[in-house]
Amino acid sequence: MKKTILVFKSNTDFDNQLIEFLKQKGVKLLIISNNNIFDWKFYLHQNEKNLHKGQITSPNKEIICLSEISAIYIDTISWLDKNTSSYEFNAWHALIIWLIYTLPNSIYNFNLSIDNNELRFVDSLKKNKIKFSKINYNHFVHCIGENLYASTTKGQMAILPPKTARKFLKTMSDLGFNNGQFLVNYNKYGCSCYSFSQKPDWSQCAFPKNILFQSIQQTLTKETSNIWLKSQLTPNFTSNFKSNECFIARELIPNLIGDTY
Amino acid sequence: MILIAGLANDPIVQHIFKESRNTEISFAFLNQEHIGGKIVIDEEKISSQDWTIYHDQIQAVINRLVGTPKNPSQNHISQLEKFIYYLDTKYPEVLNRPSSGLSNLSKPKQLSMLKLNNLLIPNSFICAGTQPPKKSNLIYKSISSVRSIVRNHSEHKKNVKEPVLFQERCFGNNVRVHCLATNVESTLIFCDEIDYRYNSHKLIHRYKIPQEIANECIEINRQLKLTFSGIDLIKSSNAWYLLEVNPAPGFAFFEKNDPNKSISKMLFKYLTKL
Repeated sequence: MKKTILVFKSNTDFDNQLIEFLKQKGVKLLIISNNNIFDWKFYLHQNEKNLHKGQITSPNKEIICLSEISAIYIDTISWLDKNTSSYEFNAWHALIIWLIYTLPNSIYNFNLSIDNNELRFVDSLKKNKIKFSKINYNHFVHCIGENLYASTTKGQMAILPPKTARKFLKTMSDLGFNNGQFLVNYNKYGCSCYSFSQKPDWSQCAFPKNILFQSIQQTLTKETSNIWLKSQLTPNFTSNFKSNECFIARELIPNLIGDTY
Repeated sequence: MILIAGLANDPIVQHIFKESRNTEISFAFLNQEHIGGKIVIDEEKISSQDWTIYHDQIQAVINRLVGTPKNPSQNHISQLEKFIYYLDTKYPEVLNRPSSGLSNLSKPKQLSMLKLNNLLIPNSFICAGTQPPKKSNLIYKSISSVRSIVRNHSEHKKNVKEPVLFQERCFGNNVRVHCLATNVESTLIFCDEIDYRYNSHKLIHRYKIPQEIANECIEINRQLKLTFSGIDLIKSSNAWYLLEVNPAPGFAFFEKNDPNKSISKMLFKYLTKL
């Protein structure tokens, strides 16, 4: 089945270039932005046994089943803030949280489960045996899914030892994110971490953008066994939907987000 | 010492203090409005002009924190963040830890998280920008943690703009289970209206639920990492339905007709044993 990515697009160069890259790779995109969000139609179903299905209709009337969507890519929904009341914003936030939970390959830049702050960050560093220091940093460390890219502050690509890289990825995961950016001080004397941001500044990454986009594509379209379970469609199933839709059994999708979720 | 954190005008805070008068429990109250102003929180202690409490004196916290005020000062924000972090990590027992309470941000997601054996979930539809399902006996409610009055679909406009949660109505009686660790206190509510919270004509009394339902509620708390919750169920003729798990239950309401104040008693007994 074709993999489609639902994109809540912000107006950054990075997002625009990412979208072009994904299109060139043949990834089907549904692009929702602040200009058209109220023209999209969502009709999603959660039945008595917690199985999910549904369809999303684009402004040009194309209907896409939830089962065709691999993941969501969402940088921010802050643009919603300007167009909606607090109640409406919370409602959209709740819908997106549900979609991200249903589509675990998703990449998102807002915190779903934990109130994040420096104390929690420092504690997480300590737990993963990374020193915290606000004295200096000389590397930008960008993380996407299970991939990590280190760049010097002078704009050169760098490599962290695998063990160190894994610690940063684990820290990010402990904080409840699957992408982000650390400011790191790394030299022959050791490694310390200055800060973490859930909104990476991609302009600080020295790696070619295509490599980052490829990582994002791989994370978003990751093949997981048994996602589409047509066998779940029982003979007495009744539906308002087309016959090629099927249930997604939530419990068979590995929880990639971590047990804080 | 047991700390209660929240607002002075919170009916639950007031109820706890009133009902605890004849107990031996010593409560201290932390008014969240004063955090970062009259009240200062550091790594060792919480202090004001008149008193100091060291963190390691606190055995448990009843967390009744609500949203931040409009235009909070930076100091209030940073001190509140620190306190929320301490609630998650520092104190031995918190009813409930803030990170566990966040499951309520999205009602369908909260229900999605649960593995249930004896409870069903109402057939639910999330709609935005479209017409609701063409089904009879639908109710609709807020999809987020923001409170709404639950209404019949027939009362609602044809199209929805923002995401709304529609559910097939479960006919039966409302049962609210207050679940605290491995203890439960249940209340049956007879009401003709869909949302009993907003109806003056209702009958409430203490009610014993089947053991397997009580066990399921205890398991729900465990799965959501909650210590104390208010679990809304519907008992129909042939099934039990789970509607929602409330991590900050307003339990005073359910003790109105209970001279024994069973939920408060359960709470104080639990806190005494810590």
